[in-house]
Amino acid sequence: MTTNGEVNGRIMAIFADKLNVEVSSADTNLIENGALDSLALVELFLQLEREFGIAVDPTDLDIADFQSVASIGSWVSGKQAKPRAASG
Amino acid sequence: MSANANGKVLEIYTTCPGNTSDASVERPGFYTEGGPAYLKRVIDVARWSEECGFKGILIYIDNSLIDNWKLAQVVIERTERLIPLLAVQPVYMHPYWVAKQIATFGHLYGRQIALNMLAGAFPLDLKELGDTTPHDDRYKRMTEYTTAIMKLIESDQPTTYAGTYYRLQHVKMKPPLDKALKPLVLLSGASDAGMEAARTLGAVAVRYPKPVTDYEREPLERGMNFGIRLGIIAREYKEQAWAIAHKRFPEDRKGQITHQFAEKVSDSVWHHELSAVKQGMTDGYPYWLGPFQNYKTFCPYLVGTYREVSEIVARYIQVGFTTFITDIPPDKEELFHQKIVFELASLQVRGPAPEAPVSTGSAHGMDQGGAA
Repeated sequence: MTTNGEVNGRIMAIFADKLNVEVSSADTNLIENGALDSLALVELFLQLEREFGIAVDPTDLDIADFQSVASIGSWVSGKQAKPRAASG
Repeated sequence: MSANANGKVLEIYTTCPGNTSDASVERPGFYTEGGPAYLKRVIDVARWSEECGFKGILIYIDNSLIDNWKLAQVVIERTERLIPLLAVQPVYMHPYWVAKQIATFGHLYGRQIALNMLAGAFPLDLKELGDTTPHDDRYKRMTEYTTAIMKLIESDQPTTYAGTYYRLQHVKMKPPLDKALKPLVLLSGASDAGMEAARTLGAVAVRYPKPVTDYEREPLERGMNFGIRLGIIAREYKEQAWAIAHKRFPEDRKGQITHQFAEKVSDSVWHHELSAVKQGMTDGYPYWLGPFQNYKTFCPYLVGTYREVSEIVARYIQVGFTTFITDIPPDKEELFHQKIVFELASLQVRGPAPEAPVSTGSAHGMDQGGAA
């Protein structure tokens, strides 16, 4: 079972490696400090899908969930915890 | 190409390749590198468009693109008649300077410009420029903006204008513009505010169209001119057309996310309307939203055989659309295929030629024959 710390660590790695953004802590406000503009948000959504195997629907999310690495981590954990819809 | 369809003169434009610094999603027809390669592409597309009989060429603008007035100059210098259709956004330039640009093109080249007035489809673009004007007020502002431009262009006398957003005080346009070069005015916007602006300005109201059945069910307003922007991929065989379409616009997850994010932040009526079109309606039907949903382009596409696609185009003409702006062409051949579609559509709208009366009193008793 993944811990919040592990999820946050993987998200920090996404910022560093894929978005080329250094984030000093899991609580840094990413939107206020300009780390997350619209282009970066789209790239972040894509990387979260790939890293965590979740589906991101931008029309159905609250940008407030993406204010910090910690809040993103909580959101990702919540998505992972939801049961998959039955297929067929 | 100003084909005549049942008394309606069609005005058909194509679109100039774009140049953008936003490389987040690959978009056919958009370049990120400038320089000779891109310039050559612009010149090639402009010349192909003119050779294939298109009336003009749309040149986009938004915060990520290069200055479209510079591209208009390139188009004018490398063609004889093609009309640059310039997207104009009030936030970018004072109306006096827009009028100055138009007058300068007329003075230097003797060529006409067309304006595609935008109220601003990307709220984030406007926000970056410190503009948070609400949607409907943006159209009021654009109405004043366009009115000021046209007053400057049309008057030989000093112009005074007192609006809410713009004021002019006894200013005379120099150099004056030859009246024959008065710009054509189109306006993008499907909302009530957009329609009000188009009505006030007498502009061609341009939109990204819903399926034609929507307009057959709810007719367009009478007394106005309407245009649509759409892509066309038509070939002799349906499978051939769809293979080209899917190759040109493959599924792109990043594009889909970008489209969904744009849907979330956009306040444009057309964006929400197109996003709401049910996929089931479009599967296999010539009307295809794949490129839009994958953020490859904003216009719906008609894909199919020449006959299928021209029948849909004919129906768009019959419900009242007389201006068509097709998407960025990948090559000259594509423009020939589009030309076939518009010619077939025009024939369908005109209907079969009436039978010529049988000749009487002719020395040989022969019919004169119907029109070719």
